[in-house]
Amino acid sequence: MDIILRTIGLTKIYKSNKAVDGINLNVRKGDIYGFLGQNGAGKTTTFRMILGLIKPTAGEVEIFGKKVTRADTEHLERIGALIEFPGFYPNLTVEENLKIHRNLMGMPDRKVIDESLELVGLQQVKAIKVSRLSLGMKQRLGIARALLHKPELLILDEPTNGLDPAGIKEIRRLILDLAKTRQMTIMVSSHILSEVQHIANRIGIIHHGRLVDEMDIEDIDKINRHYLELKVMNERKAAYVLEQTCKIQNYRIVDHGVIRIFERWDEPALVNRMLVQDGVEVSEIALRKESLEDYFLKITGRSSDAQHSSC
Amino acid sequence: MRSILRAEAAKLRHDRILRFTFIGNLLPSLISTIMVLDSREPYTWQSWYLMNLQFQVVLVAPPLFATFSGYLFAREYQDKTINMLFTYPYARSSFFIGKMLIAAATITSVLIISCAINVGIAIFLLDEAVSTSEWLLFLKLYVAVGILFVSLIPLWMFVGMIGRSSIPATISGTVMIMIPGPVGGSAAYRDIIGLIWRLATGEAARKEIAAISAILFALFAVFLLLSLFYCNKADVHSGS
Repeated sequence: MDIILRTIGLTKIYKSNKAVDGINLNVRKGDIYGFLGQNGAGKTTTFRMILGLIKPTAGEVEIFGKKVTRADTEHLERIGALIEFPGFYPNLTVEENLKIHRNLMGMPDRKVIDESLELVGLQQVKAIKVSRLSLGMKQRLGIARALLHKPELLILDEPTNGLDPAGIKEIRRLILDLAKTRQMTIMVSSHILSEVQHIANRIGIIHHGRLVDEMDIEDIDKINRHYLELKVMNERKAAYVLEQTCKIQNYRIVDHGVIRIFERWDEPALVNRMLVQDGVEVSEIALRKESLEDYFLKITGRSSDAQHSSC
Repeated sequence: MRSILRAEAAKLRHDRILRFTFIGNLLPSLISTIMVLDSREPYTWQSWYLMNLQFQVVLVAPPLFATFSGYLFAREYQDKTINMLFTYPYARSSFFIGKMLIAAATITSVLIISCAINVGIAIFLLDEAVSTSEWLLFLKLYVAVGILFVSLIPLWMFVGMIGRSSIPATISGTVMIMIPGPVGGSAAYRDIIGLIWRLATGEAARKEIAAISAILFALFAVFLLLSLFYCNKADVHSGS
């Protein structure tokens, strides 16, 4: 499959701090690539280097099969981008702002403004000054601007910042639509895993400036394990019974009264019976599968829950 | 470049800074009018223009034009549009040149309007008739003032760009009008006006013309090169 965007050992060092450390990204044509990482992991710095806003300390960027430097600008005609907070000229209307973009992108067709505003549901505010728009509306307008010149590669940095739940859902739908109807390659960053999980077909996980993993979502699905999640009154007693009676060693106490069992997950009735027979009160038992979030936490070595593993 | 110029001009639509620059530059005419109305002695066309020029060059125009020129680039940082600006398929330096041309066009327009308004006011206020040679002289005066200010645009834009605000540019314009006093005494202001007058009337010595041309050209060239270098090399970070 064609690689649209590739970075080779992309690095940015600020004094002694490695903001981005030898990243090798591979975005294929038609991908919706979820670029995941906590705040400050290096996502925006990576995007800035890809777009030529920041000069890399080391490494290369290849876009549309060509190595690009900051002096090259031709490829930028084929890219739409929304980096962090979208900036606009507050003294101008929504339409006037988009007109500037249309002119600079050399788009003679005037209809593109209405089309892109319609895509993000902002056609009714066309004549309103940008200074009067809410943060969420500005975010949507930023996406409309990035789409206006019908780019082949769309780079969206935290596009749902400032949006309400309905707006977030709308953007997700839009991203899926664009990939489907316009065969656009989309790279979208987020620190919210669930946001990317529902739309991306491929993900890259960045942690402390390093790309710790890059793979297809379906491969993650294969790696992620099934487990039984139990809610018990006394997790210590339950752990004792699991080890002594059920002979289960691979379990984890994830929270007060919550245990995840990674063995014998296909025998929930048996596990439940043994626990109850030994006097453990089980209030809930469910068969689950590790999510992208679990995978993310596992490979970044960070957990939000009180891990007490005996794995 | 045409797209860039069109875009840069469009950005100034409904912008208060443009109105302030045009209105602010009328201040010298207003002060001069009050002085003429208050004076018992009749004013000549020459004294009217010299008075206007003095107010304009040593009082109003430097901070006003510096603020405007500095604002053109600084606003891209303040409005956070710099991210977008530098991801358009043009060399970064084209945007600097485009903004510089817009600043030059605006300053020239402001001076032309100012010249026309001053002529208009003088026709009503002064009893003395004006000759064609005097008309030409006043035109030359404004051309000299225009060249002076246009040559300072790269400096003001540079200051606005590295300071990411128009305030440093305003300060540089204000300092410019304050320096001649402490350095050369109040006579220094008269000397500056005298020099502009001599340049316009052709009374200036060749040496004088060469010196002022070299200074203005050096200022223009050095700050233009510095700005282009900075513009091309600077990283655009979060919160830039």
